[in-house]
Amino acid sequence: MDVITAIPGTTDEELVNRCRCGDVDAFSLLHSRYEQKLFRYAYLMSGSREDSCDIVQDTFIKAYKAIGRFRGDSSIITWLMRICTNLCRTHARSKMFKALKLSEIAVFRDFKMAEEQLNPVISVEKRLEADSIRDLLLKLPAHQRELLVLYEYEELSTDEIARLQNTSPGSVRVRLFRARQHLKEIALKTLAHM
Amino acid sequence: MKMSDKKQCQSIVPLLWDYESGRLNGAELQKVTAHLQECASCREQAAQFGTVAGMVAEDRNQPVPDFQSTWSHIEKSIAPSPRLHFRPRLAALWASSLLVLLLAVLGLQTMYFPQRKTEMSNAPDSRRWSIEANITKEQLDTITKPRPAKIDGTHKTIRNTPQIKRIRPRRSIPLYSLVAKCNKTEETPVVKSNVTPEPESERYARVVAWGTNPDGTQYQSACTVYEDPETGERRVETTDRSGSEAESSLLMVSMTAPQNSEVMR
Repeated sequence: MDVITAIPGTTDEELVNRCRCGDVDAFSLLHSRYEQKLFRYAYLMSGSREDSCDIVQDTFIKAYKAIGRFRGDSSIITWLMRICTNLCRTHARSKMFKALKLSEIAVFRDFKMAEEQLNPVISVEKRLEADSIRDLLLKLPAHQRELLVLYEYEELSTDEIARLQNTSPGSVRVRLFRARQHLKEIALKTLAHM
Repeated sequence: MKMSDKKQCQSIVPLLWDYESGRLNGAELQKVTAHLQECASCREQAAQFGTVAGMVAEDRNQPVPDFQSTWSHIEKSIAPSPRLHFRPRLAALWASSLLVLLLAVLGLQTMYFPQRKTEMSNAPDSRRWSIEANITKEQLDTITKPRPAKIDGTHKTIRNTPQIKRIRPRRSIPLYSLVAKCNKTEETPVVKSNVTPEPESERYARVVAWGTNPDGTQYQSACTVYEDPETGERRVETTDRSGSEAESSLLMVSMTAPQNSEVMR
């Protein structure tokens, strides 16, 4: 690992080729390059540090196992993002499912508690600072949050997002505008209540 | 507001976030700037978008709290599994275990069929019996059956070497396949036989013989061999496909051993 790290300008393509040959050190370097980026993405999507750790970990394990199938049509980070996005979605679904199961019990105890568990996003948000943009992001539907995080935080282009989501750039632009507008409305509403 | 202005607003609003973030350039930047100078509503919206975009931009540079590297966990998961090293002691243990197992199986088999083994070795004639069907062409013509002959490359062995062959060591009943057949003469064409063991009943085995006549037609005949389990006596009952007694007699089946065998029609 030290040898590779010491070589300046080792490109992602070189690292990917070495990973294909089972070079764990090369993969370690890829991991160190993109770990934080993916972690932040997972954190913004899930709202939980622990969950983000699990998601990032699973992302890299999956990526290592499937690196042979990476064709190089997109950049490695776009590919990693796609894996991470899928894991975030799976995670959100399982979290919602668990919350629904819990709510079946909680509904007999406390309506408010049940309401919170039905909407884990709200309960996560309540634990955070009210004026944080991350709280506002967590209030967005997952698909809108995903777009905003990919575009604004991860700074992917609309073309890259389109490739990642298997859709057209035009569709991404339209949905991005809706997400921004929704975020603006939530922010205004929050500011009005403050 | 004019209709044309409203349409222009609709095209401008989606660009306001990027305008406030400083991402617009060229024609789009000029277009938005010009429109904002004229449209108060869009200016208000631009300010709102600007506030949120500013918050996002500020947050973008913030580190994620309590970030910890996950590499140690990942490395454990993706590390290649350790190769199996040759361990002489373990190999010896496995080899000896297999040897013991093999000996046990052989011992059980010897215990399972002790009588047969003795008889086969000491008194082969008492067990190696055969059934012969001496059939003339005329006789065969009477019991022909339109079934294709199953004569294949094995018929030579069967014809020349009468043999008993154990096919399935099931329970305590020794099952024997077949009985070779038939002296080949000009009158007795190639004959192949088959035995269907029927251990559940008194019936010992059913022998079906079939072959090709010299004129090319096929025939099939059958006999059933019975064995008394106590005395070991066998009797052979022959039948043929036509079913009539006269025609049955045409098929002569005899046993060379044991001595007390009986031939019945």
